[in-house]
Amino acid sequence: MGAVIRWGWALCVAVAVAGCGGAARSGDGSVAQRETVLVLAASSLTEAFAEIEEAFEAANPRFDVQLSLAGSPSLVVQVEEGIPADVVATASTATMARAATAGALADEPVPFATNRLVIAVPVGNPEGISGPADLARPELLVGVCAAGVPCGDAATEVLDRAGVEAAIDTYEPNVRALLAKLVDGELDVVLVYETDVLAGLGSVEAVELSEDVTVTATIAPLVDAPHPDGARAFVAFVISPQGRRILTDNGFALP
Amino acid sequence: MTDRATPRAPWPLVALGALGLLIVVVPLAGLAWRAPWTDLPSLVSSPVVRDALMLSLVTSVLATLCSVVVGVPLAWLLARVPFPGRRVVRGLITLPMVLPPVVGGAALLFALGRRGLIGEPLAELTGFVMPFSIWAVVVANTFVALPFLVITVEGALLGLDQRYEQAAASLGASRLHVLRRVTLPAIAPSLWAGAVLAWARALGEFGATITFAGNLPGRTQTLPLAVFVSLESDRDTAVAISLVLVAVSLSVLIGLRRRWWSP
Amino acid sequence: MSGGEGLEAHIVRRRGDFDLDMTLDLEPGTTTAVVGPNGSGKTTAVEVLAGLQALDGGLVRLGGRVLDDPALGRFVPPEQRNIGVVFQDHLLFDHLDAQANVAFGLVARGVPKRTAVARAQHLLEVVGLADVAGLAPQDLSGGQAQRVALARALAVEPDLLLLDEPLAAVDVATRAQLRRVIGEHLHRFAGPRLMITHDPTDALVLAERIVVLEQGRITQDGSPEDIRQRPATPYVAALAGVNLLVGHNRDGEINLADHGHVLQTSDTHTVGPVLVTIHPTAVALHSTQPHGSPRNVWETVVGVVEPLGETVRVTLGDPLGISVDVTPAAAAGMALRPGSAVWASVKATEVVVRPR
Repeated sequence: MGAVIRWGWALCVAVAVAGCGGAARSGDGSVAQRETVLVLAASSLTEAFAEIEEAFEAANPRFDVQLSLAGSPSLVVQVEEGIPADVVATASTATMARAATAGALADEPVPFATNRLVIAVPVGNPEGISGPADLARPELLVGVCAAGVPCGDAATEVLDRAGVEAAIDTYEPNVRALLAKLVDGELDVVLVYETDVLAGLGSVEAVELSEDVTVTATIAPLVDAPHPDGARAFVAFVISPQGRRILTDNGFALP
Repeated sequence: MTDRATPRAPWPLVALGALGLLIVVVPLAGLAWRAPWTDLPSLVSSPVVRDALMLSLVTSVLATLCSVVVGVPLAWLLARVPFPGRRVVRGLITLPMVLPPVVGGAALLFALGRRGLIGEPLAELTGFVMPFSIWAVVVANTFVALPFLVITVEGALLGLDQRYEQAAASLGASRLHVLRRVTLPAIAPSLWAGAVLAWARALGEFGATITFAGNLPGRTQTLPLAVFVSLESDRDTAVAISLVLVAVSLSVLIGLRRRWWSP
Repeated sequence: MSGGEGLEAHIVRRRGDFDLDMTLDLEPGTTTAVVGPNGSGKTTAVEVLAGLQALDGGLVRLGGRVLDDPALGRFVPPEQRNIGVVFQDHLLFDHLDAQANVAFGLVARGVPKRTAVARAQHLLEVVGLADVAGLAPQDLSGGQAQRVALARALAVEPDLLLLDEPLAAVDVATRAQLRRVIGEHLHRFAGPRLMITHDPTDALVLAERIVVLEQGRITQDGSPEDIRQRPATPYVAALAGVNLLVGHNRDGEINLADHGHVLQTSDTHTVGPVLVTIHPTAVALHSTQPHGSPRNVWETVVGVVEPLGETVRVTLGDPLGISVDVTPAAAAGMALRPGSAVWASVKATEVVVRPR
């Protein structure tokens, strides 16, 4: 019992010291440390922003970008609750609007990429999917993103426009979780972004929709950003020609 | 009923105990503070919440039943039969308690999914696919709840005076009869406690459910999943559902207190 | 089916330092008591017979049926042995009432509930507890619980009735009454009856045959009379409340080498190494040197004085530390106290010798 108490105290002290040490380090830029820029980005931007991160850091060695990826609604909740991040990039204007209403943005959000929704199937299209109507087939396992997630709202629009009563089997919290289940063979057909099909690395293929449903990704620095310089620099990079080239390489279109 | 001679509680214990209580009470207070009390009735009676509540109750009870049916024999074997590898088995059984639930859900997918170790031959033979069905929810819940039952019951069995079982045997009772009529009644409070713990764990399960069973209102969207999904789009609904969860849990725990909470 | 051929048991059990080797053959309709100090092996014997431990060697056969034969690899588990056991602390099932407890064995063997309950009620009446049938074990007194336990064991009509220290956990006031009740019901049981006890009174009152077990071996096997009159070891002698000495008899003169004393006996036939028994009531104490017939007179000192109700037990000091029973009046009259000087006398006819 005595040993437990002693180890407990030691642990508390260690954590406290680590915490203080950490705080000291982040506030002091003079010890040849790079400034961390925390970027919240939607899951659909995973590969594009990874490349942008590398290019940005190469061009601006002063900054060290940290990416935090999640579904857009999750990001907005974090921003509303006051996460100490510098930049937020969502996959739709609707989600970004919530952050704006909460007064969390330092500048007007900038649209920087558009993404189209497509039907994704395993490569070879074994079930012979040709359009949204096929999503009503009861024997297929169908997945879309949950309502509130940009990709989920877009999916609802696609199905409404096509007048299809789809037999959905699961509403996933973000588009990458959805894609993973398709790639693993747990689902037969999903509605994801065009860029996700590319990210599927040859194991999935797209079935084009007759009508385009697009979402627009926007980006903005946050009003309480710990590193406002880094935030602005990052946003500027994303809409720079270099940033744009990375986005189009990854399958996005430009607004 | 405190006697004048009852020793007074040492203050460090009171201070730390109060801190422990606060850790539990403060978040609940936050929930209550944030709750949209006026809108609560309409929010709680919406189809989403009713579906999720029904599903949660059905799957958590089924998972508890499954846990009892397979868990009690397992606990009995661990406590009474010195078979080789017993310690390893005991460790394996506790694994779902330390595994992050999402990892558990992924593992279930790899084993029982459409292309899983067991799932693939199963689907080919019977056409049955478990993920995205209510059975997946029950399996995911059982996976995380079973260890609680086994550990509680095994502990009780180990602490039992075996002479009563010997007396029953001397009267001619077979081992199964002894188990049914002497052992289980003797450990009834612990059995109830284990079942209640297992049920509570199953009710609150999220990670394994969403990964393995998916998220579909009416079929796999349990109360915790409904909270998660609405947390980002509709805060008020999320809080309302959370209060439903708290109310259901509290009423069961308090309602059954005589059976499982030994004073 | 009770009765039958009785019990034939040769129990051999070895565990580390512990070594038990005893033979126990019991006739139906007899009560045998196994008596011994703690660690003598009594509990092991009970557990072996009940099937809770297996033999290392030997054989257990009941009613002609082999229960345990290590040589042939035969072992019958407890639930198939049909032995009724009454345990020291009754071990009644807490969650069942008295009647359900008594009916338990019958229900376990598949007897229809109604029949089992009727038989249980009958047995409760037999032991005089019909009115507590609906009570839980916790609400019964120690004596009542033990009687219910007896009824429970009898209900299954066993081939052997085994009582393991049945009175040990009962308080002194209840013990005599419970002993009487048990005595009555033992006689009604037609099969062999075996009682394990450390209390000599239980053995001497309830059993027709007493087997003494010391350190894993039987040291004496006989009737209560045998035990009382001819104890074979100091433990048995203490059991019987008799004084036991070791000496050498020549022509009626016994040389007690250990005590450096000589006693006269009227038995001149049993010569050589002998066991000498002197009953405590055969010794008389005097304040001054007595004159008269007793040929054994010696001066000694009082060691311990124990009032035991109607008698006072005085243990003497050197040269012979024997026990003497005197009346309370005599003890008071002589003002006997530890350390008081006193004279002891024993008639030669009361000095009983047996060959050693």
